[in-house]
Amino acid sequence: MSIVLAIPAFAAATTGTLALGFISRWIDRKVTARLQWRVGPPWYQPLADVIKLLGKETLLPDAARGTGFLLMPVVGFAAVSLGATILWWVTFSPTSGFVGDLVVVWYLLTVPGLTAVLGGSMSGNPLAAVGAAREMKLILAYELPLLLAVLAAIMGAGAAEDVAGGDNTFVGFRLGALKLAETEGVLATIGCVVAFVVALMSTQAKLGLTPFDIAEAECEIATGPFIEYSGAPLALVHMERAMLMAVMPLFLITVFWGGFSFASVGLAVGSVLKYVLVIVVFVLVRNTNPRIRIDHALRFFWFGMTPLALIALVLSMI
Amino acid sequence: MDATCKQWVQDLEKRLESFRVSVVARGSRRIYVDVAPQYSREANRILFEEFEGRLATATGMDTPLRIEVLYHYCLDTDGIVVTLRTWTDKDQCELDSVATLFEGANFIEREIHDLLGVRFRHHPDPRRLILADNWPEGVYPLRRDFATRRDRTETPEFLRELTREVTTP
Amino acid sequence: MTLKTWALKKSIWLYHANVGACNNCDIEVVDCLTPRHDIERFGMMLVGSPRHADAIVVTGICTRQAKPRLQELYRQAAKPCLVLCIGACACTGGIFRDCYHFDGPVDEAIREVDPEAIIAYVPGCPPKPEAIIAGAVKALQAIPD
Repeated sequence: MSIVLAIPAFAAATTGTLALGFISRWIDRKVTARLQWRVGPPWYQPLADVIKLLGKETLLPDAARGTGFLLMPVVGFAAVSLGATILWWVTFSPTSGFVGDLVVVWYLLTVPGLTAVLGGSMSGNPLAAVGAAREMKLILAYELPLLLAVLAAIMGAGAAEDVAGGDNTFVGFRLGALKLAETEGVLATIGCVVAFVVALMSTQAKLGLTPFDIAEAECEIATGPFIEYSGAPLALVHMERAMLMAVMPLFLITVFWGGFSFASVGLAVGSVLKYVLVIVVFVLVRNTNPRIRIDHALRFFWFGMTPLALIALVLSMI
Repeated sequence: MDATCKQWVQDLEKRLESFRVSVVARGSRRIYVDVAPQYSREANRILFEEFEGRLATATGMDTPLRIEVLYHYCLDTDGIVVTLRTWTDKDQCELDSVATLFEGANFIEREIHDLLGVRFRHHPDPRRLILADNWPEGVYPLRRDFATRRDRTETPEFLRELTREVTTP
Repeated sequence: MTLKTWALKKSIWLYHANVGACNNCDIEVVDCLTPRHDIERFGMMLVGSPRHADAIVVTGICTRQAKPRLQELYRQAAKPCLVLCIGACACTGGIFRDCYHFDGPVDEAIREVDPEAIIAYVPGCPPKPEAIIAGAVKALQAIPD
């Protein structure tokens, strides 16, 4: 990836993912509204929200550590944009990734959660501190099963056919290779399916959707870590969350289901349907479950999802 | 008068006769007991512990001669409400606190103190309960001589000043 | 109409503040979110933090104890911020006008902090959700372009 292409690619990926994120957020709100027999907001609603936030004043509380507080949303936004860029690059040309790009995308997508924790702690508000502590515990909870599920997918893909351009059956941490391997139908293996389910649950927590939106429980701790943000930083927070909502389904279908492929019209339509299906699963789970407590969430992920992911790992190694 | 109610009246009269009370039944489910202030705490204890009454609430009244405090106990087995009335004169304005007997009377006595000015002796927590933080001491809104806002020209000076004051919480 | 005003009118986030209400008006405010009235189709959403709010929905008479707190809430909201006074009690003090704990209606409390505040009055006891929506629309029309 030459530097001449990288910067326009970054800009294009950021705007594209932002647009896709707004569409995903709108799908979320519209489907939620429809499930509740309501009408729901118009298609431009997430965009209007962000533009409005950019036009409001930014308030900095006295007790907050100003620089860090204002910097955290920027860092989170940058991390998601970079992760999205790599992911789109791999989607469009699967052979040009680099070894370990899966790990890079992984830790970039962890950064928004961490910036939420840090930003909340730096805002000097006790409710934000509670929200930050809960978000920290939640990160510890869901990252482990997600990692095991991705490992299971790697094992499963390696146990399948030879990877294009590779001389060994071990796929390794290359997103492109994973993607190619799976277009040959690795999701059909039972291990991969179980891993996919585990990953869906973990992503529900990562995106901060009910039943795992413990960190920003609106009624209980008044939006948790984001309570003191207003104006442009809050707009960045919302943009970052919208982009995460666009990137995570893409990440999931790239790792588990063969990603976006434009080889033929049928495959392209199929990819879009896969993406929308994942989002609709998130929205349906969100609307049919109550919010659970943080200790229940920890127990669910460590003693429920992690054994399941280990089983998936074993199954995909067979 | 109901037969059960009559029975309760007789029981109460017998138990409380050393306090020289007057026990009257009005209606089939209401009994009124008047007891002098020096015996009020003991009478309350008897009603709470021996008769197993449940304190529903306590109310206060500012009458021309004195301030009365009424404790309303529910006898849940028969659905009868017994009201224990004590009084205190307006200058002295002190009563023995019932909150020392059971926790349920704690808040209601604080409220009566805030609004009517009755001081409850030995109350475990005599802080202000429902009046605002910047409300002046010694002004009891539910007394008859408290000026309301009905005629703004008669609002006392200190209250008029208070409406301008904005204190930080 | 500038982009900023268009976005503000299309996406009003409400923060509900009860400063001494009997809860009837609160019930009607929450009723606006139910499927029958559904203010989310106008982009309105209830938020948990006053800093995220574009409109503070005030119910209840402003009691003496609540007045400095309501003023602090208004100061902490990011401007531009509207105020919607819901119910007769918030507009004028209602039937509690002569009470000892009444210290001036909500709009006097807000104007002490900000004389230029946009305040909408929705009378009623309690006002119907349709009236609340009409009041919100009138407040939006009063936003300067």
